[in-house]
Amino acid sequence: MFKKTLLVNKHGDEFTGWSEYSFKPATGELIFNTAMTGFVEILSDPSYINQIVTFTSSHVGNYGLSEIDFESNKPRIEAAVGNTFSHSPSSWRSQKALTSWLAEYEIPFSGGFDVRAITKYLRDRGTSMYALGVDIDKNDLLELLNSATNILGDDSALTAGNLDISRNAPEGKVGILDLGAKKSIVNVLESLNYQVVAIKPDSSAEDILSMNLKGLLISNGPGDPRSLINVIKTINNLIGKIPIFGICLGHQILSLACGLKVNKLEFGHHGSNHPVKIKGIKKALITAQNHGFAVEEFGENLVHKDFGNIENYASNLNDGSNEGISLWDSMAYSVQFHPESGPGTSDGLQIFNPFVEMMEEQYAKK
Amino acid sequence: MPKNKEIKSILIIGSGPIVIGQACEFDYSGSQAAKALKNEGYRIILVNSNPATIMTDPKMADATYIEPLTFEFLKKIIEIEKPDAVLPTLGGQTALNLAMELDESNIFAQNNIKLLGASAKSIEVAENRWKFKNAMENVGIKTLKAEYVRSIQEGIDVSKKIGYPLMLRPSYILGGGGTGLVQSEKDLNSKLKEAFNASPTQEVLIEESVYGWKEFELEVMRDQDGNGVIVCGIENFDPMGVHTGDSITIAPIQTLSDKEYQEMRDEALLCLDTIGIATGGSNVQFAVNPLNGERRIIEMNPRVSRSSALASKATGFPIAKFAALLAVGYNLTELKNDITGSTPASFEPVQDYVVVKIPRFDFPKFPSTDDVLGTSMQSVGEVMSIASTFTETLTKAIRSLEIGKTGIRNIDNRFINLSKAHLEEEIMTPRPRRIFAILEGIRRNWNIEKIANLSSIDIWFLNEIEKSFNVTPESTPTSILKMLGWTDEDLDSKDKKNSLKDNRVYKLVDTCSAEFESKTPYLYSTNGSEDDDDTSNNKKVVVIGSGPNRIGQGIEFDYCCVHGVESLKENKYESIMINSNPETVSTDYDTADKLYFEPLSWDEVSSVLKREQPDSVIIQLGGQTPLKLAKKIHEAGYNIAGSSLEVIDATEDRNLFQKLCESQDINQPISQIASNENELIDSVNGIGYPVLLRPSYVLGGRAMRVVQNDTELKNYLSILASADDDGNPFNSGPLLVDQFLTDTVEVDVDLISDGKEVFIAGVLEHLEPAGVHSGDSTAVLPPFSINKKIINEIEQKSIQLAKALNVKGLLNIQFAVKEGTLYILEANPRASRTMPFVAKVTGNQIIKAGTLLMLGHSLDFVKKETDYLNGSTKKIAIKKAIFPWSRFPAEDTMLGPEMKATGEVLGIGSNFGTALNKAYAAAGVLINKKQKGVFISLSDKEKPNFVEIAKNYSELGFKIYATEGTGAYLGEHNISSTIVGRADDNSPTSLTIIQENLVSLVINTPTFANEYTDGWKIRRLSHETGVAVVSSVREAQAFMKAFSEQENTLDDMEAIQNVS
Repeated sequence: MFKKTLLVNKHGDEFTGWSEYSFKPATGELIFNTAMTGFVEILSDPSYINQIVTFTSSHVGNYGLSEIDFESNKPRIEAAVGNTFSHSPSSWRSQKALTSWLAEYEIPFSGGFDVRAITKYLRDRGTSMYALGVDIDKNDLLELLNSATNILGDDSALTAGNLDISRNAPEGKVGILDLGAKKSIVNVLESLNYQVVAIKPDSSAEDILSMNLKGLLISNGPGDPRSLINVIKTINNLIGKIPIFGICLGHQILSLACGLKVNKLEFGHHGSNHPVKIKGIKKALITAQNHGFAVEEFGENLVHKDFGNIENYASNLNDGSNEGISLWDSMAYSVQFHPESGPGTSDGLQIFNPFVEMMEEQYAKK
Repeated sequence: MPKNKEIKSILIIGSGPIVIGQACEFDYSGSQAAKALKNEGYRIILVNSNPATIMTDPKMADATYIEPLTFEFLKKIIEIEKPDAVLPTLGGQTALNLAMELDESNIFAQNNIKLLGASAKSIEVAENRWKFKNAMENVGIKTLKAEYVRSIQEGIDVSKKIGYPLMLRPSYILGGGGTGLVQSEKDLNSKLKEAFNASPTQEVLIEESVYGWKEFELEVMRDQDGNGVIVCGIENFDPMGVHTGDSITIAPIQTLSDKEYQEMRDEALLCLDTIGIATGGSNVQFAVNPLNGERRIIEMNPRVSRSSALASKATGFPIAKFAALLAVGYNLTELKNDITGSTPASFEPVQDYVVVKIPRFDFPKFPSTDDVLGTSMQSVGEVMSIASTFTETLTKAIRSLEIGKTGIRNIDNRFINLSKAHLEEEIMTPRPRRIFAILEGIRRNWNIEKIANLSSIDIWFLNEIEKSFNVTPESTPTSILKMLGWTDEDLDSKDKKNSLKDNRVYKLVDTCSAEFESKTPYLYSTNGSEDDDDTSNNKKVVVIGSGPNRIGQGIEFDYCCVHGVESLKENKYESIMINSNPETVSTDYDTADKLYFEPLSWDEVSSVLKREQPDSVIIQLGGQTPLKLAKKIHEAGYNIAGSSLEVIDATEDRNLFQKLCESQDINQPISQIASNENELIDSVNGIGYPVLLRPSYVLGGRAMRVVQNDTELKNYLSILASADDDGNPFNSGPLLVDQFLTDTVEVDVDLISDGKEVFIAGVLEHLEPAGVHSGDSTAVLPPFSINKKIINEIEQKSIQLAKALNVKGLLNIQFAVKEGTLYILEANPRASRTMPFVAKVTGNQIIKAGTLLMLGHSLDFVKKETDYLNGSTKKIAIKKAIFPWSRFPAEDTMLGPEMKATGEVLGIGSNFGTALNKAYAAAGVLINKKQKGVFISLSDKEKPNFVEIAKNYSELGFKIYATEGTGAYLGEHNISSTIVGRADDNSPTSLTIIQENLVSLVINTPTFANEYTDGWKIRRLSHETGVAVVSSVREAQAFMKAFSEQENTLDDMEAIQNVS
């Protein structure tokens, strides 16, 4: 039996869908993701905390769920809406239906939405907080929306991390400042023969330096980077002292740490098909992206009084927005997109190379 | 990198006539490329033998040669035009093969010509099975395990190494004999023996079998900086074993996880890098084992293909256009995404909709052929549909096929009545109708896994279809019903209060799932809550297209639609195109002001009309398809452009047409209707043999036969009876009985009219004797054997008829001339198959002019205010039909009243001989490669008629070969000949002389029987080896003219821009 689902924002604008499942209402920033594969990865990526994802792909979950694809241990989104969700998947790897998994964790989801209408609305008017409910009065949803945590100022990155990497000694390992890191990042570093250790966001610069790490990777994560004031301070204290590589939220943190500005984008970049031009690489990379905030453009380069030259390392070919910075004088760089993929193309894997080179060079000195 | 400035002129090679496997998608790609490169300021030289193409329109290039696509002609054109570069990757396999041949003979090196898009070396690696295999294995991409064996023992050893199941492929065989699947060791011995016997070289390829694996294709674009993007991933519904051109396909890929998809993407890009494709579009095909994800690369095409046309239409990414621009030095980051106009081309398109392609087949025209699908393509066309779910899209695709089916829930009785065992067999065996058997299996609530196992079709698709059968309309929201592929036809009248049409909205194909704004109105209908696009208040005209290509309705009608649209644009009307065929130029989003990619069924068409409220609807350009909608369009209150519904009725209704012809004093062959056997016998006795018979309920020459005597009459009735459940040949309706005029010359007239004045665009004389369908015959413009008086009469009667009918727009009339008397055979108040070629040769843009006449302009106005009718030519143009015989090895190549041709070529010359010589060359007849010999085999009745022509050939120095009876008869008339044996006699036989290239012509008067006779073998072999076959004195005389102009043909060449 199909029940009507309702998605509303604070202006009272609404979209409707149909669901065969019942679920408790949920709130989050409504975004759209245009990827056509990689649903398990997206749903389990901690960066989507406090977000409701609109999948623009016609069918979601056709090939089911396989734990190998997990980016964390469970679904991390608040809710998912789309055109249709498959509850009878087909793949030799599939362990269960995506829909059963979401239901198991009581994550609301609903098909039957005109996803193109949602996407156009978000594209034209920007993203904001929404509430989703099934068989529910609109006013109840609006009320719920009042008590929701706004994505602006959201500091859930401080608690989003759940990398399970307990190693005795951090010595000689790569530290991942875990703001909600994806497993794919760990996988790439491990495939490059590095051991990895998770660093808690509240660790101080001194603590981190004392670990004698080979390098520090600032992970992806959810929420508003500008709210992570202490983390930004910590990184500011680390720049120049240890090789640093930032990804996504990590890019924004590094940028804020060296004085650049970060703004909310109108509707963000969420998908697997964004072309990015990297300084020094001839061909454009097709990258996976998932961010609602971005580093403000600052021209080709800047000189920082402590860190030296800050270069515009990468830019988005679709809209020209900043996709990366490099502080080669201070052994730090970062990118806005996801070079580790998961989901997405393997085009970005080479972006780990400078990190590896810096770490090897630096560690050889010791 | 910016464009190459060292190059000033580029030669683009087209793909030639429409054949199975190479159809109008290459007109689409060639037109895009020519347009793009011309825009860049290059001098464009274009060669294509196919006159019904948009790419050969004079304005598309600076110098267009409608000439045979052979080595000699290309070499000559290169000498004349001296191009700086050649672009061979847009004209299908034909262009690629020609380029390789020219390269191997150093023609490019000698003339300092650069090969754009792909180097000869990389083409060779991609095309050569073993080189490709080695190249792939070297970089770690898995190919099918395979080895050649020469003995049973070797075969057993290799089989152990590869593992079962295995595919055995004997080397150098025609038509697949001895090819077979081996499931286990117990079958190996016998199957191997069979395979060795089939191979003339005693060599068999043993290959790992991937029959039943999942099949995928990736469309890749690459530039010289190494930017590589996947434009589209396509998943085949039908698993490996069915040619992808014959498979139902879906985009985007539905059943691969991101990891599997990305691995495939990496391999596709690595494949291009390895082969060394510098720039352009390629397609890479993979097989995936559904049990464990194992993957094999199957092949790679270093050029744009049928799939890339589909991918372009499916995503909005213009592959051919960009391939051309990349070939001259641009890179993807410099090019703008056409559809958004703001983002770069270096991205991967995403879809928020599903695309389904279904091929269309014409097996009933090839009665000796089993309709089981395999690895050789047999479909003649395809439809594409777009909507928000797989099931909704599948329903739309089924509707687009124009086979009378309304969607996935509309299953016809022949499946509903099948036994369990029979239905299982129908689900297991890939045939054009398998999809309907599967739907019936699901309707019967069969276990889905069982259907998946029988068919090897991925269960996800079947599960989705099953959902559609598991809902009840009362308890399901209409939007969900629609997403599940329901249509209004599926609802009982009580449910109809909520029409599924209420949820119909129009969305854009925009390459980016709405992430960026798109200004290109490329639309499809689907379930949803809001439209993407507004309608205007402009003066607008809807053009209804011709749907999927089929024999009898092909690219010619798309050409007409495109010209109609161009005329509308040039005359400030908003042009709106509706069509369902992804191969065409008309469905390029660049062609009309607005494109609706929709089924051409009334439900969808009426929704577009309701939304757009056009000033006029054009139905004259898309063949029979739009004509069938005429009545409903009229009844719904829309204005049909030009000739009214009455004109259609007056020409299609036999009684009305008879009356019209009588009133205009135009003769018709006697024509009667027989509703039972007695009436039939009376009719035949009254008219006298031969008669032309056909069932009244089929169009386009289907099941049409010329019957000569009582025995053939009985045969014909028994064939019809066998198609009927009760064995009554009259059950489906009466038979039409027409007097069949023998010894006639048939003539086509194409004209346009405003109802008062008439402009005769062309009078074409057919070369073949009466009884050959006009679409299959060789047509000569202007007439070559009819005297002035008769031509005058033809023109007068044509004008008279057009005026009497009050034709506004286009009219095609077919006449037969018998002993100085003119008979009318039929009249079609619409575009005809010959109009594109007439327009091209004469330089009169009759479709554009005709479109204005349809909209109410006078002929006088068109003549004064446009340059459409300023053309004239002194050239002779000859159109030859092209047949799909190579795909149907069991068929007789003999022609009859039922059309079999898939395409056509044109020969243009300053005299009849050179023109026909070119037409033959373009059709694959190798006159100059054969010795000066002619083989004559005549029926007793015909022998006296051919004495004169045999003498002529003899005098011209031809060596005459003849069968025993014919030889004796010729001897009696002092013509000496070499007697050859029957097909299975000792050499020389009728077959060995053909095989050994001793004859360039076969004169064979067949008896009307479709059997595996000597005649059958001779005709087939002649076709396969490029020998001309004629069956009348007229044709033999014509061949002689072509033969004697051999020396002059290459020098008789001019760009079409100078012809008229």
